[in-house]
Amino acid sequence: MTDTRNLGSQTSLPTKKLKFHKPKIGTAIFLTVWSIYVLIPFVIMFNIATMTPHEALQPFAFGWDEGIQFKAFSELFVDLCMGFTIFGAFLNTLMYSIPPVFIGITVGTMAAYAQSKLTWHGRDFTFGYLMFCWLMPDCVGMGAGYMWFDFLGWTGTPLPFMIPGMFCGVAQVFFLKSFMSTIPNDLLAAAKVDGLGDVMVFWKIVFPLTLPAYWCQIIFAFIGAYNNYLGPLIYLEDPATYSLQLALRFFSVFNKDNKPAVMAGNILAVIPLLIVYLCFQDFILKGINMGSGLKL
Amino acid sequence: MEAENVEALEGVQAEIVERQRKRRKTVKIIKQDIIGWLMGGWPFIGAMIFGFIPSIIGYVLPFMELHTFDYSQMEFVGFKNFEWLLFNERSMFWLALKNSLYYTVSVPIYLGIALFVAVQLDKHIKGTGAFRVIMFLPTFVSSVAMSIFWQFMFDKTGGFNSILGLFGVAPIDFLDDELWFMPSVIFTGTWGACANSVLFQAALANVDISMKEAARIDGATERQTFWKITFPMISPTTFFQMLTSLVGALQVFTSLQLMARTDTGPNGAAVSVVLYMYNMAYQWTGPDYGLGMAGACGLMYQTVLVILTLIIFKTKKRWVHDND
Repeated sequence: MTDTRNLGSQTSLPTKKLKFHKPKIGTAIFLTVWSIYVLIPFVIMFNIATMTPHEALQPFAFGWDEGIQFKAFSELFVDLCMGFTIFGAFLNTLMYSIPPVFIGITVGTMAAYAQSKLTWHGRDFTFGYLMFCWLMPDCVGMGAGYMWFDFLGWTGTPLPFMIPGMFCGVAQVFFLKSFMSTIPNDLLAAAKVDGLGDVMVFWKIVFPLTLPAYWCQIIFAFIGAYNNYLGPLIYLEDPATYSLQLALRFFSVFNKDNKPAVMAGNILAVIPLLIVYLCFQDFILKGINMGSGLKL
Repeated sequence: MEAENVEALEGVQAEIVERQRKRRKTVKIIKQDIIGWLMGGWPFIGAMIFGFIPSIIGYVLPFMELHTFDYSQMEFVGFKNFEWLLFNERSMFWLALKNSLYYTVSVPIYLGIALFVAVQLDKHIKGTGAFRVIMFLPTFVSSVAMSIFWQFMFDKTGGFNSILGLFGVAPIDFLDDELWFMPSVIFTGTWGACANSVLFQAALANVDISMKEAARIDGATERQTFWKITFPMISPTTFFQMLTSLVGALQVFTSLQLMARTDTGPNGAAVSVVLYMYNMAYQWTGPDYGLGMAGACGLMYQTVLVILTLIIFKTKKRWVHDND
């Protein structure tokens, strides 16, 4: 660590006025401009979604020359000869994402407890192996993974991207484990003296104390599953089973000239997560900082 | 005689007690192991079934010729796939490698944005809370939705050309022009780059304020304080971000696939290595393509990435200031 005291060997303070509280106009301007940059796509999306298709194709389309209208949103419920509707795909996505996320993170919490608070043979080995896998870049999987799932007979169904999630990834275990290490071991020892077994200690004490991290991980895993594009793209075949992201992609490819409908689909895809975020923003932003003790 | 008997009996008793204790201990250990594996073994089992087995297949597949998904037609061909990828003139492997490397230009840009935003948020002006919420918002927006939006913006009649038109610039077809394609894709990523600032924010908040103040009292300017004190102090975070973003950028797939109007983009400008693998495995049919070829490409690329990661780790001390 640099010793800063040696720098201050002068006997008198510098005569220059200390600039601790200089006005931060630059910061304010930058943050405002960048926030507008982040938010403006939503304004434009809404604008295009409420135009007439004809108007949206004109160059420099902005505002509502032909009047504001919401017809595009009703097209999301209609099958435009592609074998799927955007709303149906939305329901599919919920079906594909909610069960793996809840099962996966619950399993992960249990695993984190076993990793951090119990002693058993193979504990360090399994965790070491998982860490090793985490650091390995995985691009072999694209061909070989497909072959393996084909062998299991899972291709064409959502199982290949649902089932692996239920076993929980190492990143989540790592996060939950570091969160659990803040729970004092004496507390658990006291509970054991009172006659609770390992499983009941987890259920009655550790799990309730880990709930903030648990919900935080649920939210992030849900975002990941909801926005998953590669998995459905590779494994799904029947348009009726398409997930929302995949449906959006094909919808935009097949309906190039119906810009309002495509943008309405975008809005439907984006709004649910934004609502989740705005409701729990404080919790989520704090949750990130819970896990930022991550060091290599 | 009597005393000897008693002694022997005591010895036997002690042995029995000892044996019982040992057995109880073994039972306890076995019980602990069962509970441990039942509670903590699932991620490992998952990694075995869905990670280890495919990776074994991944080391065999590259040496096989397989053009369709009919596995009975698979045959062993040795290094033929690698040879084709590296030396055949129709192979796009080198182009794909070039494009993937080109895309890594985005890493310093995105991290620079994230760091700059984090530094600005760290100044705690009025309304920082609201700004922080907005800056993290891109995390929640799907890349598919955003890429559709950007496609509209980059369209010949889209938003950017409308703005350029005001200055008298002729419309540019950003996504159908070899030279403009990759810069456009990299530009679209700047929108979400500020979301990474949360990780820098935590690091910045942990920097010892007294060191900054000491430097200020000694007359260091704000810029000097940042580069000489804050930046070295947060270098572990920067290093971690750099490593993960670099490996992520080298495996770029989604943003290129979504922005390209064809499988390869204009003149192959969109083909990154992973996109090339995807195309070979699932999109293109023909005697040259298939799972085997994609597997060969993946194995080679993975080797490159692993070596790169190891090199970065080995030279970590040069980049990172040790805080402890």
